[in-house]
Amino acid sequence: MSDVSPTGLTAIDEVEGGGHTLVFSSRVAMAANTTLQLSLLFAFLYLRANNFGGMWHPSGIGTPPQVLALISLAFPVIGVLALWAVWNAVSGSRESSAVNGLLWLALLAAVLTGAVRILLMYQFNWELDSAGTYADISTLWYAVLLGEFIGVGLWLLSLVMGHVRGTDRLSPAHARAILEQWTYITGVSIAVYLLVQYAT
Amino acid sequence: MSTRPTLARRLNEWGLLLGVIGAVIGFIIGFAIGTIAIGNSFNTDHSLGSDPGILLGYALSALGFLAGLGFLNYPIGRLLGAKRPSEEDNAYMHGEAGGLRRYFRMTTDHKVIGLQYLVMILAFLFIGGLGAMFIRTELLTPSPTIANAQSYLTLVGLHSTLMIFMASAAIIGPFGNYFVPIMIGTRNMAFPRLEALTFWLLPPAGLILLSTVFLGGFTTGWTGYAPLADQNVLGMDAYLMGFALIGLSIGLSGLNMIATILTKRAPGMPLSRMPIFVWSVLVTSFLGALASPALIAAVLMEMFSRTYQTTFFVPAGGGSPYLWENLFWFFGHPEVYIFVIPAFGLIMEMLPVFTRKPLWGYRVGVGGMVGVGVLSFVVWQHHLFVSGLAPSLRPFYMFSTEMISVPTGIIYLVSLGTLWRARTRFSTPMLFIFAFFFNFLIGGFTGVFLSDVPSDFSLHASYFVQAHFHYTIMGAEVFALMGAIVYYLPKMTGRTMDIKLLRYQFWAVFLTFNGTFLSLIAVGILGMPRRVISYAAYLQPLNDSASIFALALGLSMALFLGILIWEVVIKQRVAAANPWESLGVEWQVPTPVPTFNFDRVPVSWSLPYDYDTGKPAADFGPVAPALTGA
Ligand code: HEM
Ligand SMILES: [Cu+2]
Repeated sequence: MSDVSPTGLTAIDEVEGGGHTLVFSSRVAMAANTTLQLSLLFAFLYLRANNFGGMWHPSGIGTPPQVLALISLAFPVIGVLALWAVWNAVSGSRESSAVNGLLWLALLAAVLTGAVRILLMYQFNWELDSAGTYADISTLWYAVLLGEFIGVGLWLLSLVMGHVRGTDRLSPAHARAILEQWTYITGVSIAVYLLVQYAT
Repeated sequence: MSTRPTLARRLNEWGLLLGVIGAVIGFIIGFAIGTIAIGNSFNTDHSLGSDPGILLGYALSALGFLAGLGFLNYPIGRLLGAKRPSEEDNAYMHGEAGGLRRYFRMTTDHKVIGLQYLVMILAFLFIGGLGAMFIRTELLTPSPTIANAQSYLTLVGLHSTLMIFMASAAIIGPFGNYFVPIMIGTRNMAFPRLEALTFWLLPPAGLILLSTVFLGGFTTGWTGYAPLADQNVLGMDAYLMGFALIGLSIGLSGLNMIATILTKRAPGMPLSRMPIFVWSVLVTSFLGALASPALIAAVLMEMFSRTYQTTFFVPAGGGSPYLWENLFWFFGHPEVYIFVIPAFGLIMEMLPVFTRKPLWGYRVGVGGMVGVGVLSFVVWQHHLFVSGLAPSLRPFYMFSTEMISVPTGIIYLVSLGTLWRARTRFSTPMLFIFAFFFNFLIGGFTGVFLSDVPSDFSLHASYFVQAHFHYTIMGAEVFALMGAIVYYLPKMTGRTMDIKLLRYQFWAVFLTFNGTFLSLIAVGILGMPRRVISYAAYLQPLNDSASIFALALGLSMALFLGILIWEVVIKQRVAAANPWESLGVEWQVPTPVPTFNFDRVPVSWSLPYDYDTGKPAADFGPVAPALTGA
């Protein structure tokens, strides 16, 4: 391949999900996700600031249990570290035998993330019809994040399966893209945790 | 070849049927789970079921539909670590075998998807149009005749929501999917399965919306305002699920287009050499990808409110209807430019062909579209001038809204510059282009009155607003769509319509359209509110004028469809290879366009508008110049 198109792809590099396209699209998806998160943030702050009918956070409505909430953040963070190590290993030229182990670790962290966050949401214990809008928006936000963790978790599962079964070795682009996605959602989750716990 | 792909393929051939079966099964399961496990909501309409049951039923029926079409095969295979589909499988999914049947199944050929979009959108526009005919028939008299107040509102809501759904994709869907890959010289979209998905979300969205008539309808119109949305019967759920699916489709299509345009262009095509239509699709795609999540957030809140009884929009429960209004219009205003920017792109793409001149001020035109796109995110509050926006904020939104006229004016200027001293060919598509400019001028002009706070106070919620957006959406987008159908059908189908006959149709549609909506502008200035079934007696003459023009307009639109079906499907009138003598890349490839578009990816040389020199825009030779090593 002698020449390169202005897009960085060679003339015949038209494979679907080519590395550059993949990482780039994943970032566009993050931008779109940002609108969703900002919409929820707007709702949170708007409802909080106005306290319509004194029903933002009526007395007797608690906050999510602190310890479980922290654990629900610990696993995503472990996931970030594991995926970061995966990406490091895959993008280095030497084929690291540790990739499989790291991938399993990341997957385990993802499963535990989902499990703990479901458990956490069960512990909210809010009667949503009368608990005020603090409870409403917190529940919705945690639900949205749970959905996103599950989505990226399934993506991770497909990468792990392809890699360990040898049908589709993990490419640096894939490792990069999923690391970014997981980190992004983890970051948002930390911010949401702080808001829900302390901006009551 | 192993037996597994053969089975998958055989199933895929029956995808549409399996999809319908999947939808029915999905609905039953979802409805049962929702009703039994989650129980009835605060909604008092229990006779037909509960909100959780209906919503879950809709969600699973959409999923079942997609599963039946085969959308889950690939992701499930990946989850199990199966091999990637072979080249051969991909070629099959692309519809390489040809034939009519690939139009009735999931395929990954952007050209098949473009035509699927075209047919689907015309079908739904027809249904929506029938709704409009009922509305205007009802409004022939000042008091209710064929409908009652409730069913009239459902009629208006159905017409408007369905039209908004379809208008979101009416140009990008058919023409963006069909032509963008060819124009930028790639064989495929970045994510072909995703592209198929954005199309196949459309039929469930439209049908779910229509199913509202079995669930008591909804009374909010297309904007779904709370608290009415909270109070409505089960029909509201149809609106919510339909809009969620459309929002998803808009967002995913935007993502896919952005990825395709920004990473898959042919060698030699920097952004500054991209056909202007591709630019319009790019700008629109950013609007879609960045605005639709706000809609999804709002819809999720309303779904939660109708099932888990959250109080996002109920003041007594700590919420506010303005929350919906803000989120909805943060999406809603970019959405209106999602309608019209691709229309601008198409118009500017066609203009040089008929003026036989280079597009004047290409960069300025691109700048205009980008400017409109950016500004469209900061004007949404003009929909709330009257309903409770803090007065101190009004001047800003008035200013930003009126600012939009500047880049819009620039786009006009580019077009006028292209027309200047041109030896214009007044072919039928050119008539639609002129009509586009005429209608959009009135649409934009009425918009300025609405963005002016004092005049909006008397015009808001009147027929003036209704006439405003019909001038922009129907007068501009739909006229561009009709022109583009005439222009591009020869390429897309190898067949053509009788363009002489279409001239009569054009004048009919142009005159009746303006007759209808000029009457409605007048009715609006006289203060008639929208969305009501009865009106004051003195407004009857103008309403009758609008109704009679509207019925004639309906007939002339039907005539367009009739000519289309008669000549393209039944008579199959063969088209010339390049009837308009365009220099565009899309006209240089053979008709029908080969399955993977090009033997070799073309090398772009210039913009395709060099009508003064007649220089072609790209090189298609068997060997890529300077790329021989590739
Ligand atoms: C570009 C094409 C345009 C489209 C497709 C469009 C579409 C719409 C639609 C659908 C509505 C009504 C929403 C409803 O149901 O309440 C609307 C309202 C409005 N439009 Fe446009 N519009 C366009 C251009 C403009 C322009 C150029 C301006 C200003 C210069 C403008 C200013 C407004 C204002 C202020 C309203 C709110 C009126 C009210 O509710 O009182 N629009 N437009
Ligand atoms: Cu607007």
